[in-house]
Amino acid sequence: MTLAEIEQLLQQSVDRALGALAGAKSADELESCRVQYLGQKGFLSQAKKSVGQLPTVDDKKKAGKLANDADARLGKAYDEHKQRIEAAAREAELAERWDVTLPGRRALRGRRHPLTVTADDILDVLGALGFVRAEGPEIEHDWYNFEALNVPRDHPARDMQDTFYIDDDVVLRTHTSPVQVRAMLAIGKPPIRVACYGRVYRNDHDITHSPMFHQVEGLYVDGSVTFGDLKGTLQVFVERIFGAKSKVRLRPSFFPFTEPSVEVDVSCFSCNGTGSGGATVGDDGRCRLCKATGWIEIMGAGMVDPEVLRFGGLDPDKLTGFAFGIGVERVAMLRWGVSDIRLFFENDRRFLRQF
Amino acid sequence: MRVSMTWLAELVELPKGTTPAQVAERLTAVGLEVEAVEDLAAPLFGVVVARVAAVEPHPQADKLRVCTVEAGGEPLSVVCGAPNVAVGARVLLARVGTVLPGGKRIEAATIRGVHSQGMLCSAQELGLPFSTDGLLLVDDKQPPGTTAAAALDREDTVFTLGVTPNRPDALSHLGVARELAAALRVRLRAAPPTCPERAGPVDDLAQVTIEDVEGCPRYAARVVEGVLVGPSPTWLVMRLAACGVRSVNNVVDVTNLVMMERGIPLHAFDYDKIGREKNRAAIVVRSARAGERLATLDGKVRELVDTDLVIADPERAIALAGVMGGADTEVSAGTTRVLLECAHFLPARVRKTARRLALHSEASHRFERGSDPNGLPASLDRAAALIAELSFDATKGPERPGTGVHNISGGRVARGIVDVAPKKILPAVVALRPKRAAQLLGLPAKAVDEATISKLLLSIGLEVDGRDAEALRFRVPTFRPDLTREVDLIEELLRLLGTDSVPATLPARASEAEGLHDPRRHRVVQAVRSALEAAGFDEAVNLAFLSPSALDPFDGGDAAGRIAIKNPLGEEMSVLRKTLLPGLLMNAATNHRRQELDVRLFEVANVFLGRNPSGKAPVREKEGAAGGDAWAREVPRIAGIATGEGGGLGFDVARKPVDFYDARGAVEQILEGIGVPCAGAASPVSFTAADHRYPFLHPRARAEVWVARKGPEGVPSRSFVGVVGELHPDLVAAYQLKSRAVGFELDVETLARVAGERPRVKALPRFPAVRRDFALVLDDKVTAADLCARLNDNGAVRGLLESLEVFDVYRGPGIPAGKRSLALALTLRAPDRTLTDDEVTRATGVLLEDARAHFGAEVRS
Repeated sequence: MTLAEIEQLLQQSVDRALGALAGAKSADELESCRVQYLGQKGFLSQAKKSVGQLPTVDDKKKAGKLANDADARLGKAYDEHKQRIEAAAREAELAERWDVTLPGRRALRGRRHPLTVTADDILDVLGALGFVRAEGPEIEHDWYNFEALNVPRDHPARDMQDTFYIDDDVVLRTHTSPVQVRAMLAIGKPPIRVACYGRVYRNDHDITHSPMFHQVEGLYVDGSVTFGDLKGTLQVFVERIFGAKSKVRLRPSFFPFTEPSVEVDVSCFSCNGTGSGGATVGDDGRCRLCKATGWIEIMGAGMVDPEVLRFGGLDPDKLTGFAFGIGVERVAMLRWGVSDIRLFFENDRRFLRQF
Repeated sequence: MRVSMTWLAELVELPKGTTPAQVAERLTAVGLEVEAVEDLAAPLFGVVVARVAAVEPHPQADKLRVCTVEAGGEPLSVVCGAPNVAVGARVLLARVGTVLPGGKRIEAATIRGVHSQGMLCSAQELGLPFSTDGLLLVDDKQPPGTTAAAALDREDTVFTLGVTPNRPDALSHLGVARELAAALRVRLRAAPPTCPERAGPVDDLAQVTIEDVEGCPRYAARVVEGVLVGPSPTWLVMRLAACGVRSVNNVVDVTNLVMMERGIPLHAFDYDKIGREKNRAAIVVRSARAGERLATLDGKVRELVDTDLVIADPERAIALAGVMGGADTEVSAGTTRVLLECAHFLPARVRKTARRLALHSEASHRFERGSDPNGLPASLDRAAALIAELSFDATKGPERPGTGVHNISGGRVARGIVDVAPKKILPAVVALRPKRAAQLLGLPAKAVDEATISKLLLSIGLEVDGRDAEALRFRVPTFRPDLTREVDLIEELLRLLGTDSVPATLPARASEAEGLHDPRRHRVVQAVRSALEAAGFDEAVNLAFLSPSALDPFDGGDAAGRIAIKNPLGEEMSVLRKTLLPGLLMNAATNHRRQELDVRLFEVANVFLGRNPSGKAPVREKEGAAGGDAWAREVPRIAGIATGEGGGLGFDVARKPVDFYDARGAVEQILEGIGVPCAGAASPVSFTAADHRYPFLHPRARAEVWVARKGPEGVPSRSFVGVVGELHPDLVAAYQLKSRAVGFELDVETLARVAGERPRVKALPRFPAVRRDFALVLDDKVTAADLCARLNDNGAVRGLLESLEVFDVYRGPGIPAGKRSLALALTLRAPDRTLTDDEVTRATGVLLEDARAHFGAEVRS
């Protein structure tokens, strides 16, 4: 191209380009204008490339200036228009109104089973109190489940638990207590301080009894464990599980594997032990949760019977211990006001997703 | 055990004004848990004695009459339909406003034009434990206006006690009274009963031989002559009713009353129906002969076995010892002489028979727990005297005021007791060290000094036997068979002192042992729970029982490998689960029936896979106790199921029916959650197409999950973790699911074994990566895993190919049948420099050529 041709190209094209830039209505249109006119294949590049090929230095200078001027004009126009378009777009965006009441996008989150949540809470508290975990089989020899726990055959204490039998000497464990004996035998030397969580089975099925349910068992054996130690441990336990204001009441009772034995009551956390008012107040003003007694039975406990220590290979003259067993379903029912134990095992997602 | 407050008050010197609530509180505090308190008078509230002053016919109705009654106040007019209403009768009037036990409320009403101000009641209408023809008539001595509760001996409170099986002594009013007296620190009124003997020597009338001395250490009997069998007086009926026992006749009622009072069951035989030897009624206590038959009082004929203990006469069994009497020798209306039996039987023998025959009676309940062998004479004295007293003819004399007993009574008790006790049971002597008591309970020594101990134990019937250097010795009465050891006496001290007296302390020493479980497995399970929670799965807990047919699709009906329960709740709960999937399928079905279709559930639990070969018997030492001697193979599993639609939540998020990849994704999330990477060339995880060994899975989408790991001595091996897949349509149909279902089941022990160790951190890359996408058209049979493995292994890109991912799969227009297009994203990066375009093009070229040469892959433009 000659200088004249370059000049002409620039003259014609600059105006066209300015017009096109001004006419661009969006960032996208503006960008295609930029590519078309200012890009590598645009007239300006073409003109700039041609500048180097002009024969004289003078022509080169002249054409160079023309090209640079055009570049500057177009560049400025482009920048200005770009800013205008961006400002307009931002204005438009700022004028938008989204419906913030629509729900957000998220992944569906699953829930832990309330029994798992409850058991984990119980085990955490016991862990903090120095109990380590222990496990044992669910199908258990009669010896571990009964005999080693001081329940001989043909003893009326067997009536306390309706047992599922696999054969004459093998049962579905009726409690987690066989793990006491297993822990004593397996660990061997004191201190033995274990917490056992697991499924247990009894031949019973109604709104407060499930043929399978869960227990947590605590056992502590050492040189001079006292009933006072049991009391202190249970007090801390109920404060952490049922709230700091909770109180413990121990009522003498009977379990073949502890002596002395007690039933453990916790002060009603609905009516604060008063028997009236509270969250579960009935029409008559009495608390329905504790049946107006102010107390709720939550577990059995006691000092490990010397016979059980002996079955566990330990010397009852040198060692004493305490044990307690708590029903996880019972605690969960109390905590959340679940009135039918069967809800835990139906696995209706409308129930499970409330926890 | 139902205990009457009035009865207790006769036996204990209760402080004035003691309320039933206070009694209940004290009994519970000493270990006799009061489960319920019932005010017997409450149902009779508003009902009073009324005298019928006039009876007029009803002007409008033949069967009704209009009565004028006086009940302390203005005379009332009451319409009545009972046939036995008569002038002068004392009847019971339910006043206007009374609510009868059935819930009926008495209103002032106009009955066929006549005004009626109340209702005259029958026994049934008042919910009383007996029935009357027409109105219940009360004694003429009851003044009008007296409350019905007072007139009928119903001013009483009944405590229902939950008596633990170690306390047979508390199965009687006397025993409960003893506890209450000790708890209240007051005196017990327990004078031994007296028995006037007005007939000849009993030895001329009866003899007892005990053949089975082990089963029956002692047997005692009395004979009462001149007995007149008839209905019991009201006080006796009411007293038994309070205990929940129905009245039969005066003789049987007395035996029950004495059992409720003193705890030892008695039995009354018709003396004249017992076989004779040398002219005397001859009782033999022996083991039953196999095949021997006995008709019991409940009208059934029982076939006996040789472990049963029977009371017999010379010819035949006449009663099942401790369990139930025989029909042949039952006391009936014509009985005039009664042989009263009071015996001690071995608890285990009674229990065995009662259980075998499923015959649980008040008597067997007490014998099983251990009755007092030395309380027999007193019980016989009490019962015999009372039967004699109650053997009267009401026409022959006036009643002694307030007692229901007539002065002229025909009953005469024979002199003496036949008492055969070949095996004497003496009070146990138990030593107690005060120091030990203080130490075990955590009490200061002075709280359990010798004086305190003696005072407390004496209050419940123990006697001081003597003392040794450090210990006190106590004689334990035979009504407390549960007290045999020092620790038993320490428990008594705790009961009587109250648990509140022990200061609470916290023990210090924690366990030094790891416990009795696998902490690694526990951590893995918790991590899996978190991963599944994040994946939108809710946790389920199912019962461990299944019906055998539920297992068929999973184990091909292999009954031998299943563990069955001998006494299941029903066929549908008779075997233990071998897999968690049937439970989850049932849960899905439950939810679907309730319109909840989008189900995502998982469960962590043991399955039961047959016998453990080394679990034949308990091994009472370390390894065995640690679980080695478990009878069954109990294997922890994690399983999940998903149905309905999956995907995220949000108003513009697409949801689509779940399929195999949702289940596989969950498994991948589990593995990632326990530190096993599932993506990239370094992943040890492989999903391989599974075969017919998993018939519960859909043939089109079932996979085994494997994780490669370094075995011992660095030898590479791989572990089978479990299966994942779409559940077979037959199963979906069988469970009546309303959508496709996918699931997985993984072995927890294996997961724990393959779980990643704590990782070492790698430095972050310093140079940029380059991504190139390609679509390759491949034969359908080439799996994504095959293609990726091949390309990842290509030596030419070693150290450069950072990742290789399939991001789209396409079949359809433009792709020949039998082929599919896989879109691959290749990410390349060099650790030490920025890759040039040329390098990238060369590397991808090598890979595409490899894919073409090996799999015939065409690059799709």
